[in-house]
Amino acid sequence: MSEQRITRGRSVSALACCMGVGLWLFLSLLGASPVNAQPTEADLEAGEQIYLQRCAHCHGVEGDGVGASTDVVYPKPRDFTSGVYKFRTRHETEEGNWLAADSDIARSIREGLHGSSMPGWETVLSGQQIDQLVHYIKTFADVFEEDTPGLELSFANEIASSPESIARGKEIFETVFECHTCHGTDGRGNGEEALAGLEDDWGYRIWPANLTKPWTYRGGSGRRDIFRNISLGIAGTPMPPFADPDPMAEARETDDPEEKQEIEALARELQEDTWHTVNYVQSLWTYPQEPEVKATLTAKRVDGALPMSPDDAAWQEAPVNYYPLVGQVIQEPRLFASMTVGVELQALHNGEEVAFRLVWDDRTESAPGESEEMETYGDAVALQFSSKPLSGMEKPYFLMGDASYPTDLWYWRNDPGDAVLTRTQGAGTFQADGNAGGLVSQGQFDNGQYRVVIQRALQTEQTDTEVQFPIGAFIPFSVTGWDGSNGEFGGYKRTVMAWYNLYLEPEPSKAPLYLLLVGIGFGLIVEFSALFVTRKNHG
Amino acid sequence: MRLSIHLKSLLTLLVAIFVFSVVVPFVSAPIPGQLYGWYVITTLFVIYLYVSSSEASWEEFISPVRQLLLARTALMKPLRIVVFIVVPLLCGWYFSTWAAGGSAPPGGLRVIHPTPPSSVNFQGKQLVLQDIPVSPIRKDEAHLAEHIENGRIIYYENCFFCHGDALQGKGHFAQGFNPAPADFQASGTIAQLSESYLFWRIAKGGPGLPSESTPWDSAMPIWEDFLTEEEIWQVIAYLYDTTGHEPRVMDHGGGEGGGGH
Ligand code: HEC
Ligand code: HEC
Ligand code: HEC
Repeated sequence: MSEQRITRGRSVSALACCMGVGLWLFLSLLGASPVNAQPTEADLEAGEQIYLQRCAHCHGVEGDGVGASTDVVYPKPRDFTSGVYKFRTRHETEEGNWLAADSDIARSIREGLHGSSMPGWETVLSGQQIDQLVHYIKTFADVFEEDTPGLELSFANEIASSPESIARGKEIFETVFECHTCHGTDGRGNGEEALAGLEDDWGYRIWPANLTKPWTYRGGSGRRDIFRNISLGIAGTPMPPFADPDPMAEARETDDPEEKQEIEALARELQEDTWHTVNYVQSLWTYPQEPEVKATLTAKRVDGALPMSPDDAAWQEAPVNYYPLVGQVIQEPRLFASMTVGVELQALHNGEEVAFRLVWDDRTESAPGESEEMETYGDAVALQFSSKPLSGMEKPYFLMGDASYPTDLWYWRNDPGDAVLTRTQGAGTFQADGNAGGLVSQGQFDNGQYRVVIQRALQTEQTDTEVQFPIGAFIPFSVTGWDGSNGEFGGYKRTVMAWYNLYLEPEPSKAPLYLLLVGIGFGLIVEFSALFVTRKNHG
Repeated sequence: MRLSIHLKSLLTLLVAIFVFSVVVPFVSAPIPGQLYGWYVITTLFVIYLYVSSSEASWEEFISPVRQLLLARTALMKPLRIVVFIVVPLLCGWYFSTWAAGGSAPPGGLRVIHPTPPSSVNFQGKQLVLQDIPVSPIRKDEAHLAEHIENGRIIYYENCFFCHGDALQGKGHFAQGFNPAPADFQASGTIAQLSESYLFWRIAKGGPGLPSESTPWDSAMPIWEDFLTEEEIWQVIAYLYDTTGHEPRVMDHGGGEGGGGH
């Protein structure tokens, strides 16, 4: 706060600050943020102190990834004793080690690993403190003493995005690099290999990234970040390198100019192919960054029948709201390792009925009992409303209500695939079966994505015990989801979100038009009476 | 130099608007829309009072308007036509947008720090908050550091995924909840509260709030179900120790809370 005040007061220092920040950003973009090569004893000690205060509860006092928080986070904190760092700009060393440069580790600490519990520390720690941490955490692994990081990755021959490049990238994605075997043909992380089960080097189940959601890319979603991950792979995970060792290395060694040229041409082609793939990956993004949550979902008013199919073109008219879904971590048993990131929601009404469209990504189409290792359940989603009409600001508890304020859940599960109405008075009372409740639904699983439409009449006969949808009013709603193969089921193990408001758009009102006329009339009356009075007195 | 009365009025209005829309939000919080409108109207009224305070100043103020209305010069005639068209249109536009902006969701009235209950039933034991002006573990000074260290572990096992590693309310689950998890570093949360108030909030969580604080929206868990009495005092000690805030010592009037914007 006080810093802000000073810069507001003195624009010169503000300018200097801006330039400083700009310069710093520029330098860090170049990957040139300097880390002292040789730490002193004092650096290591300072690093240890910060580590114990800020990092040990996740990464463990011994750096082995076992701390107080390890049980409640997924993915698991890195075990630094392995010396394996996922995000590097350096090629494999001659010894066959994948070592990160100090600046790579510093960047991960500064920015955090997005979509995981590893926070970015740049707002809390200074650049010097982060450097000291880098030196300290390297002492957990001997490999840093035995070997030095390999050659720097070259980002040359960049190709700007264009429809042609994206088309070429898709071809490479599916036939040359075969990324789809893990990431799926639509990039939702649901390729065959992913479904068959992948493990990381530490023995945990790991899922390929959902490429459509760039804000969950651990190592950043900049073009160079994606290029780096494809070229060098992600160490410790099944994601392989596609340009390692350095394809140019051989060219540097040979004396034969013809051979040299040939290798260089091949290396350039590989770089270009990688840039095409980067362009394709970016074209898969649904949103460039995590969308902001909108407090109100507007159900647009349309004429005629509401669309029943989730892929009906009529849905393009309805505004889309995105809501993050998080694990239910409030009541026992809790869900810490949630897989679902968020849900897209749309609504339409025609004065008689309301229709909702829910879209969310799920790598697995789950069925009860499909896995031998753990109990699995069906995939499901539910819209939650208050069963009773509400007065004032009162609402049911957002986790399935309680005895005095029950909630209506419009519960849809992939088997049998028909939405039912089920009433809850708290999570413990949740029952997956209910009655039809006047709901009509249609849903489908398509290549790592569920799309479901649920419809009902705006009004029912049970006006006091079932949710009603008065037009022009604000109606609290919320969404909850279950990823069956992630062990999610029942009232507790599920993903949740807060209450937000549904607003059913009224018929286009004529009031603004009338008021426009009234306003014009008002202006004219004021003017002419002023004119009249003035003329009378002075004319 | 003498400023013309029009310039004076305009300057006053501009300064007032600057204060309302820049200075006040910077120093405290933005002024809500409706209140803002009233402030501006009040300012206009004061300006009117000033302008009409003497015959001379009123004359000075009104004479250009009169010249426009009478339109005796060649310049004034077209100007009058323009003004006579533009002003009614502006009025119409203002009236109709005012009608269109009529639908805003309810809410925004949540009391963040309600008055606490006088006593808390904790796992079957009755604790009278007034009788606990400071945390009982502070009496055990010899072991305070140990208690704080335990509190730290408790925090990172139970709280950080909502309230964040840096205690700023930015844990990796925070984005799913509304209201957002409290930011303990800020001056508006634990810095204003006593340790027994925190004890109540932590023990009873969101559902323990009175209805003016919208208990149905809060994701704050009921920690009575997970932690012992001592563990809660320990995590409280950790929060104050780490943020550097001083707990308020509860006065016997129970004069805490009620505030919160
Ligand atoms: C809340 C838990 C948590 C805290 C606190 C935390 N980390 Fe992490 N950290 C993680 C997790 C989880 C990962 C692994 C994420 C993944 O593999 O996707 C990780 C990974 C890392 C990595 C590996 C990056 C890479 O390229 O592989 C570094 C370096 C790191 N953390 C440093 C730190 C430092 C330094 C601190 C203290 C300032 C710290 N972390 C605090 C959870 C945490
Ligand atoms: C053998 C399986 C496999 C193949 C093949 C594969 N990936 Fe991956 N990919 C993964 C896994 C697993 C992860 C997640 C790593 C993690 O979470 O730490 C991942 C993560 C990613 C990420 C996100 C990186 C980040 O910062 O989190 C991108 C982008 C990506 N892959 C792109 C590609 C592209 C493009 C290809 C083809 C050139 C490809 N992958 C091939 C398994 C694979
Ligand atoms: C599931 C998320 C979640 C977890 C876990 C959680 N909290 Fe909270 N907490 C919240 C939210 C949301 C609020 C703000 C709403 C409210 O006041 O109830 C809050 C408010 C608070 C407040 C009130 C601050 C004030 O200014 O009134 C305290 C104190 C608090 N939490 C302490 C804790 C402690 C200690 C833990 C761990 C034992 C914890 N919380 C765990 C979500 C959480």
